[in-house]
Amino acid sequence: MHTLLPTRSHLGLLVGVAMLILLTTLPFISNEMWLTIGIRLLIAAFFATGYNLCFGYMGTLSLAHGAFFGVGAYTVAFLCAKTSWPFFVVLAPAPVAAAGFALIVGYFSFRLGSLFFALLTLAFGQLFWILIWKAYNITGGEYGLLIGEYIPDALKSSTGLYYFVLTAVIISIFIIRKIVDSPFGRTLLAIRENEERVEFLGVNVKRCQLIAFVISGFFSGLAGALLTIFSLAAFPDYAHWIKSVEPVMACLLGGIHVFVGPAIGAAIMLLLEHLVLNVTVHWQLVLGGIVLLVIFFLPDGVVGFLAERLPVKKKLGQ
Amino acid sequence: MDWSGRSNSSQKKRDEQSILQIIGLCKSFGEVQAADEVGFTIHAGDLTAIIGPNGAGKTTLFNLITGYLQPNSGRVLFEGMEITGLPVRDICRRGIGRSFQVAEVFPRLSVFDSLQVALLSKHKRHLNLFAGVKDLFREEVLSLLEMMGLSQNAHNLCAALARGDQKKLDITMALAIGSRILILDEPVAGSSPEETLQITSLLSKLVNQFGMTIVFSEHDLDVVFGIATTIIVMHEGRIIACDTPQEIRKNRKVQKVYLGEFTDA
Repeated sequence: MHTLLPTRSHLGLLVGVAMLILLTTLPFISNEMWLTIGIRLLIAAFFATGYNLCFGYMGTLSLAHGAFFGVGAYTVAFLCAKTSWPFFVVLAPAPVAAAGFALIVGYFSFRLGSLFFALLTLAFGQLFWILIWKAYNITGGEYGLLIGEYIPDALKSSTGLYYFVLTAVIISIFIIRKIVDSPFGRTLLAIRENEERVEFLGVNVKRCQLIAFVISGFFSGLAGALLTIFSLAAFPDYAHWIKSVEPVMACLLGGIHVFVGPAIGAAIMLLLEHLVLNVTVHWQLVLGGIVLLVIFFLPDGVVGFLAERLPVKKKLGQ
Repeated sequence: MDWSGRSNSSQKKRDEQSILQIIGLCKSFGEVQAADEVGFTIHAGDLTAIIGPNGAGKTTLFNLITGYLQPNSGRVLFEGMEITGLPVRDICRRGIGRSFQVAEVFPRLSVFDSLQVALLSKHKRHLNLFAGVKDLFREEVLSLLEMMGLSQNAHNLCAALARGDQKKLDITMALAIGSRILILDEPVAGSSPEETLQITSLLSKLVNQFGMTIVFSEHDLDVVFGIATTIIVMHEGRIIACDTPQEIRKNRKVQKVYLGEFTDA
């Protein structure tokens, strides 16, 4: 009977195909409001998935990813506001700039060990946020930086923008999945489990951690760029440390040990925000309570909890 | 001083085959001298045991050899090349593998995946971002598992393994990176009699059939005297004896350290 059970990856493939069908047909089955929520959900899910490369797969808590998100957002906004470059040329530097900032932050933060890592990343992130706030002439300060009419006509409609964001997110998540399933991804898992032992296998652990951190920063920057295109502006909130906490909560809610966990967690957060806001403005209080409940009672997250109970072939110890 | 205890002519020949040379290693932690002018030579194909009471400095010595700790003074030469002060990963890449007193495994990875990580490092594929990893080096992993008696556990999580199997896996990972010498810290500690027999048979097989060189520390003297070809005895950071098992048994200094008295044995 056991041999008739599907594997986890078969079930995952099935769910993935179903999700893809739903996402590609969403503009035809929903209204403008849900399409807008769909765009925000895609960006949030993508941000959390890219972040989990660092958090779930490498086991490192970073509080600088909000800053990388902000770097991507402000890079696009700045180039739109100050240059007349073609749109797609303006988009490309955003994740690269975020990756460059992640390289600097990671280079210094990984040197001091895991105990101080989260604090250092928080410090770097807030440094960037303060720079944005203070450099009013360049960034618009608290009012943000508008990108005006820079968007191509095809992206001015919600449907056009939705498919653009969906395409970017699908391609990026596909790349992240390839990285997770690669030799490098396997090495990251081992580093998460026992960093010292990996060093004794001849691996330069700090180098691997830095590479993963930069890749994760790259995708955070792209997510920030996409949100700027959606909002038609970049705001200081995009780089605040609270922005760094959003993907952490999404990962914990959905589950850090399942690839789609962070995306599902981000979806739960966004839908909760939308539903609870109809009842009270204090939706973050409700969200905080739910995250606490999940941490205590579902330590593997919602998706992790469900995945453990799927009727699939399992390894001994699972 | 070379503690190999062999005649000059055979000594010269064996020196040409020396794989590991420890010269005057010293390490202190505050006022505690954990290693005090430690020096010895390991020859290719040796199965050398390092014994001594708790706190004798055995693990410190292993940490100094493998680069986990930096010595205050002294040198470590591997195949004639200086490795003193090199980082752990560089020493591993040169051919020194290590296992630990408490088995260091990857709890949420399977046995197969764990060995795969070791092989990825050996073949320098660990930074490959886009190749699929699922069946990479599959034959090599399965071959190692069969050799070490872990085939039936291939797809089990490391956390679910019995302690003895975790120890075997720890040793297998050290082997998988292409080591030419294995430094094993208490390889049978915490193992059942059956597991102890399996591991000691394995160590003998690695030396006799595969030409491996092994240096191990142990408290189980039955194991030590059962398989070691050379025994080094440490006490309070110093080497007090280095000889064949038969000579070590008769050594009065060793008897005093272990038994607190001399015997006629």
